[in-house]
Amino acid sequence: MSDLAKFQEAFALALRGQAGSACNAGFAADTPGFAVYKNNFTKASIDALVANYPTIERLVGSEWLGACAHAFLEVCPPSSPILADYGAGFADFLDGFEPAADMPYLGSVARLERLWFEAHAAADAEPMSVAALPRDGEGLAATRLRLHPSVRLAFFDQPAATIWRLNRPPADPSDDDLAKIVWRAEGLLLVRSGGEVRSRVLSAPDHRFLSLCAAGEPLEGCATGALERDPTFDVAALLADLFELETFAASPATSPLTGDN
Amino acid sequence: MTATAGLGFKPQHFEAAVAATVDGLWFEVHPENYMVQGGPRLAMLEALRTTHPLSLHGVGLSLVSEARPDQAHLRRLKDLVDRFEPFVVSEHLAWSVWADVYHGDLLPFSRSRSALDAVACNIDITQECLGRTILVENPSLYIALPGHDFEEVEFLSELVRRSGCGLLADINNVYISASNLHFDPAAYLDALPATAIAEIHIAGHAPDPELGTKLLIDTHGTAVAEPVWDLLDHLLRRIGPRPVLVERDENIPEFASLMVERDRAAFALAAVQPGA
Repeated sequence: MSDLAKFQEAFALALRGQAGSACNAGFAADTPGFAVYKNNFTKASIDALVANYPTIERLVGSEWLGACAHAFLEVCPPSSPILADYGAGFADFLDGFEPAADMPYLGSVARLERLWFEAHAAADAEPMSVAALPRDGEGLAATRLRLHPSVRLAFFDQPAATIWRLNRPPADPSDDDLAKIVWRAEGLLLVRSGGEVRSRVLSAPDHRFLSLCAAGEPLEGCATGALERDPTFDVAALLADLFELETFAASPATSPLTGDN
Repeated sequence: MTATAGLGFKPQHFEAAVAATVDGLWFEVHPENYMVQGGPRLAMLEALRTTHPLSLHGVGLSLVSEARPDQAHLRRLKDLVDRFEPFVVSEHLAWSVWADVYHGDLLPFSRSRSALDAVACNIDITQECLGRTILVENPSLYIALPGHDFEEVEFLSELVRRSGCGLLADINNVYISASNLHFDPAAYLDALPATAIAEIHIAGHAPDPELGTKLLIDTHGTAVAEPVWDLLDHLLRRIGPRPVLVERDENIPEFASLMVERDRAAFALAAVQPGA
């Protein structure tokens, strides 16, 4: 190993609190000067994680999240200079984080934060207009809807989606709002439209319908799958909501963005 | 591009920034904040660059390394350069990545001959990929290291000679390093090769909470300090006008108050324009 590589290895270890080889590499890790580098590394990482999980901060407070981010940093430091992307493994970490044991929904809320970032940063695509749907029943049944690249779907056995929606800043829920949370399984659709990420809580059949769309099923198959979950499922009502949210991408033939993505 | 004064762009200032019609105003961003596939971040930058010239100032290439620049990162940088056509692209004489960990800071090294070879090679690769020259910025230093074969100015000058890169003279960094490592900042600036300097940075710093001014920290969290303004005048008198950027990354005030500092930089430039 070259001198530069030896130095960088020792310096990087010392930044993470393992200063064993610092002396041999020509620097002292216990000086105020070194502490500036160490603080910068720690602060940049923790600030990025906190910025990427604003709903978690709202739920647990800055101090709790700061301490948690510190613990996360020790096992999972940033792997890329794109700090908006930092924390992909944070939800799994929270699931096993002892001090979060009395908030079993926290990991799922963190999963939704991460999906929000993915939706926010996803590729652009022209949305499909509802007017582009075939008018005849047969054509409609055979239509395969393409999800917009920003669409993210999730389903949890807890009301994590409602908790996330109520607490995502700048939302400021009242005690009444929080008291109305029903403890049930539910899902969430995230989709970017008009430059903003929007969300809709999904029932089990809603989620089934969209998952089948994502798998490339024609509309008839999507509706059948949803109806198996709930015979009263209203496909027309869901579709109206989904088109309003710009959930579907225009077909390549009519999209001006073809070839750019 | 003519040598005018610019401002580090902050998304919260977007509306004021796009609407600003001040003569010569330009903006600089960290490309790492825009390495996404689509959405509002890129749309914002697209809008900004239609109204103002743009500069890309990278913090993630980790040029000081025997490992070659990360290909995926370089490709993302190239995509941004191709799309937004910045008038200048810059990076740092530092490293931030080791063993797949990004350390969120611009880290020091011993300026050895082998380090010079490694950095020159990485600049070559970067410039080859981007199809243009880049500027390299002098770092803020907090500790003295052994094993230097070159003074920092010599090292930078040698990089210019070998790779054809330009220099980004960060005067605040020079002031901080000179104070922390006890050298003369004016003499440092006097020794930089004038023709290579294609951009200048100024920013605020802070004394260490415990040690005070014995240890200055590059915070970008306050207004530019008076000695840094003096050094700006000093450098401009020798080399003439160059694009000057006011950086601010912490305690970010209103756009208008940053523009006051930016206008002061414009005033410093006006004083050294030919015929002034």
